[in-house]
Amino acid sequence: MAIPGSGLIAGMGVTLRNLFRPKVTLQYPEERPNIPDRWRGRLDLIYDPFGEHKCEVCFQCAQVCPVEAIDMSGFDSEGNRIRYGLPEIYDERKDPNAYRRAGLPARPERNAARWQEEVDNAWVDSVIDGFGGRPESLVAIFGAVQTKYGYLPEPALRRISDRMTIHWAQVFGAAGLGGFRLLPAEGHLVTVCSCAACRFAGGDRILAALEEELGIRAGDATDDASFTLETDANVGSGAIAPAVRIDTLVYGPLTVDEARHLIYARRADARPGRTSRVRA
Amino acid sequence: MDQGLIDLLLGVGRFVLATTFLLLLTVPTAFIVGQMELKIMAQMQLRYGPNRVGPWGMFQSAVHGFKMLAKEDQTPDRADVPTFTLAPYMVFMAAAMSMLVIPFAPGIVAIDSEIGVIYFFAVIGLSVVGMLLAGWASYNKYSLLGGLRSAAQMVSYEIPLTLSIVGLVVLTGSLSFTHIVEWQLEHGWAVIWQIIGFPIFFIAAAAEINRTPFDMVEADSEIVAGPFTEYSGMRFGFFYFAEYVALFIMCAIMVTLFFGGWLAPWPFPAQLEGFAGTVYGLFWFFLKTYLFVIVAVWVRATLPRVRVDQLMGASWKVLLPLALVNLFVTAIVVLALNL
Amino acid sequence: MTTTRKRPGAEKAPAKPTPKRASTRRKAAPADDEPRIRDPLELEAALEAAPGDESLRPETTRPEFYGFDIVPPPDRPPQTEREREVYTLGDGEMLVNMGPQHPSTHGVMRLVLKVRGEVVIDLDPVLGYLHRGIEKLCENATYTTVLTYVDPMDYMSAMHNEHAPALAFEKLYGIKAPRRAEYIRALVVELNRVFSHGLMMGFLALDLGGLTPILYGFINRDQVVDLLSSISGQRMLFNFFRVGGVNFDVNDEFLSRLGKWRAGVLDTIEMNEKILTENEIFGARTKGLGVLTAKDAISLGVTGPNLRASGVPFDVRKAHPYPPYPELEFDVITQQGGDTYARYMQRVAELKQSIHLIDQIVDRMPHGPVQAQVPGIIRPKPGRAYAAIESPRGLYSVYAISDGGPNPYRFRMRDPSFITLQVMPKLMPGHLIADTMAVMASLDPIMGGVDK
Repeated sequence: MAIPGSGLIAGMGVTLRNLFRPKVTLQYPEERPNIPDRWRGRLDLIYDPFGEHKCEVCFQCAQVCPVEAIDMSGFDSEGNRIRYGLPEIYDERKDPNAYRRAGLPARPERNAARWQEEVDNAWVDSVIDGFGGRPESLVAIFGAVQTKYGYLPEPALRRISDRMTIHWAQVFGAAGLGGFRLLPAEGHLVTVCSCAACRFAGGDRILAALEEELGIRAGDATDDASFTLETDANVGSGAIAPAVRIDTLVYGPLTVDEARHLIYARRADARPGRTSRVRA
Repeated sequence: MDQGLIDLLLGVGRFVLATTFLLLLTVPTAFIVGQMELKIMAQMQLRYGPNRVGPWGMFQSAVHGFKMLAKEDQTPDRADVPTFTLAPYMVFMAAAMSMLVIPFAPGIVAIDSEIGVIYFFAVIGLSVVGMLLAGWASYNKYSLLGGLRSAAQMVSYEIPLTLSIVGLVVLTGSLSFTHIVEWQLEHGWAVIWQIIGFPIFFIAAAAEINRTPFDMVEADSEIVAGPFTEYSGMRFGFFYFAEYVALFIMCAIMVTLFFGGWLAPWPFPAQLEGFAGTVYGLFWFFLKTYLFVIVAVWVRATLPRVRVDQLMGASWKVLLPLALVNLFVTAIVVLALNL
Repeated sequence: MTTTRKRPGAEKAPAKPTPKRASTRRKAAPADDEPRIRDPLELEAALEAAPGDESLRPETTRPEFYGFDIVPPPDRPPQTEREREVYTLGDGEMLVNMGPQHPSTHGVMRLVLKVRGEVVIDLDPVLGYLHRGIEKLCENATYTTVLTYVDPMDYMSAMHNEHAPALAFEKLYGIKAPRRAEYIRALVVELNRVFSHGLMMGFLALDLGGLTPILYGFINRDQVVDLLSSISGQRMLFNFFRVGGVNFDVNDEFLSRLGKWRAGVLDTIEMNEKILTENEIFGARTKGLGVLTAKDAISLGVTGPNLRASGVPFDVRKAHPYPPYPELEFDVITQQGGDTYARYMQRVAELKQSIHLIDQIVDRMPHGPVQAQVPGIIRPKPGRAYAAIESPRGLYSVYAISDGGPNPYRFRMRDPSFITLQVMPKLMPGHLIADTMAVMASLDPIMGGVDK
């Protein structure tokens, strides 16, 4: 039997000695741990010696992951965007492949009409090639497409995206910035001039009156598909401000009542438009 | 003016000044003791301890204090609100009030009372009331157990704590802390004369202020935090504040009674005159006191906690008889040597 | 005096001083049948209409103080005789709830203690807070991926968790791991045992109020975990075992780290030993505490260090040996006494034995492949297989039934922690609340394994 208290003293000795010994804590931001070569906890993709991603987006890892923790997306050999897991990013919700992989109908109903557009892909390609395929000529290409079709059909935009290797979201965003029609014009196309001269001479009042008359906003079409209202800055010249163009005829200078009358005159003989159109 | 009135006013002024100064002193004291606990214990555990806030992390405990101030102060639904609110301040006041009689240096003492020793042991025991109130008022079983433990523990250890001093009082013939220090100037440190009394006092003092290995009151692995379980914010902070201040005070009393108070460890010179003497005394007093704080931290870093029944057993079966033996031996020595 | 709504039986409660604010409010209060507005939005609107009309506010009632001897009624009547026994209180008894959120319950475990003063009279472990349905998950996974699911079960011995399923599936499929793979398995398993036992020393001390040993224990644990991550690539959930072998062979990095660790490990453990083993307070707290007799231990199915601490020399590595243990030299260590201190000493001795085994394994490791030829998706013939190993907590075994498909038809794990836990009600009565955690820490159950 040892002396009473010797155990306590021995323990106190250990702590006293450790008071002066080097400490073991790793001062993290300054000191870095020595991570083993086989460390699997790193959250990034590995590059091969040539600087290429080793990941080939084969989805094997996502398929075998026992806890289904892996979502991944990439491009296949034909440049199509492919994805494993539910479509969760906004632009991918529009991607038919994402819908298909998620087991949903690949063509959402709300876009049914636009998916049925037929586009001359060879012609679109020739336009792109004519501009040298440069991204800065995107707006000019849009202009050419709109001149041919009257608006920018979605398949044409997709073709542009694929051909010019610009991301679909960027192409769609550029097309939506202004000046281009993403839906076909329906019925009479009523264009209110928005140049400075016309607005100064009362163009805004005419636009407001026509919006009230038709019950729609500029850039939209009436429900019965008889009128499409839009604004453009190059309808008339200063001499006839404020000007309104209906289909191909330019009227001006107009008063509010005269503009309303132009609509009345066309209500009677308005052509019935497509009734299957579903508003986006 | 009547001389008696002037004396009274002077006395009141001196008291107010001393109390204010001592209350202000508790703040840096608690921060320093808390910081030493954080840092030294970390070093003993092969850690660095706090080292990000300020140079060597020296503002860590201050940051802890401000954090406590900023936290929400909650009261349990079924708590006894007035008692619950009062308890932390009672614990703190017991610690702060007992500071009044500590002589820091020659002449630097708030109340140089003839019965300082009795006052001290009467006041330091008051904290048990606060603990018991906190335990009762919280409406929590852990708090209740902790409060009762604290009552049992402190009441049992008051007796050996006080008895271990009686020997010293017999030896010095005085109940005044200043006189006891001055006695040590002539006869050497009292720890040499009280070779049994000091260990008893050391152990009983650790139990009295709930330090490891006698921290049954807040045993975190058993009863969560004892009476403090339901406290939050600055009320919780006050308990910790009081604990650190009490640790400092116990170490200060230990130094005063057994290690010569403000006296230097050598006789050439053990004490100086005038302002230099005050600084010299304060230096030695705080140095010795903080050395004992370090010892308390060292003990806490090493030892496990004893059990409640073992704690009581140690008090009544070991410390109390030893203290009585110490008293008898001292009395015989005093008679024999005619001190 | 106005009549206020009172619960039946509240008249008998001692009179409670009513706060002043409440009493003035009550004078203005409407008659009892007039409903106060409880919906906060409605109340806001009503207060806007009639500002300052405090009588619209619902009466906030402070629950009556019942005192500590009255237990709130249980949410359901007792279902079993045992439950009635625990939850029925005698004179001067109360229930103390420890966990699932308590500073020192290991994992999320709940203990309901019936105490008289501080003395524990009875105890009821309530389990299931960490149940993750691992067995069912495994039954829906292929044989290869099962080994990834079992890791987080008993998180202190993840390697052991993988070992038993790997052995069982190999028996089921009728293959055998190469000899080198068996040695590597034994190596990582013993390393895992070292850190598990080393941490147990620290946890026991922490539950007794010693703050330092746990940190010294974590020094050793961190080194071992670094070692295991340098061979398997992960720190805690290793996913290292494969059906028919192991994932990786040992490499130079691992061996150099192993050498460095081996040089210092005994010093690290010795620090804890010096603080605890001879310490008088530690001895007083643990000796004679929670004595588990050999008879009780056997009849309750306790295995592992807890059983051996009671003096029963049963070790799966010797009793039902699996390779490579028949080729290694070691003895079954036992202690006498079966108390908390004996269980602690047993862990220390086994820790050193494991280090000794690691030395032998590294010396004798044969050359060769580490993985047998196994198809990507294993389809064993219909049949059943059982494999048991010695985990740091006792006999850990797996029983797998195949119906010929790619995943096990039934996958059953016997986790030693779960079985160990049921001795708690036998050990605790008569001891103090303070001892509950010490006994619990000495039995060393891991709730991840208990609840699965």
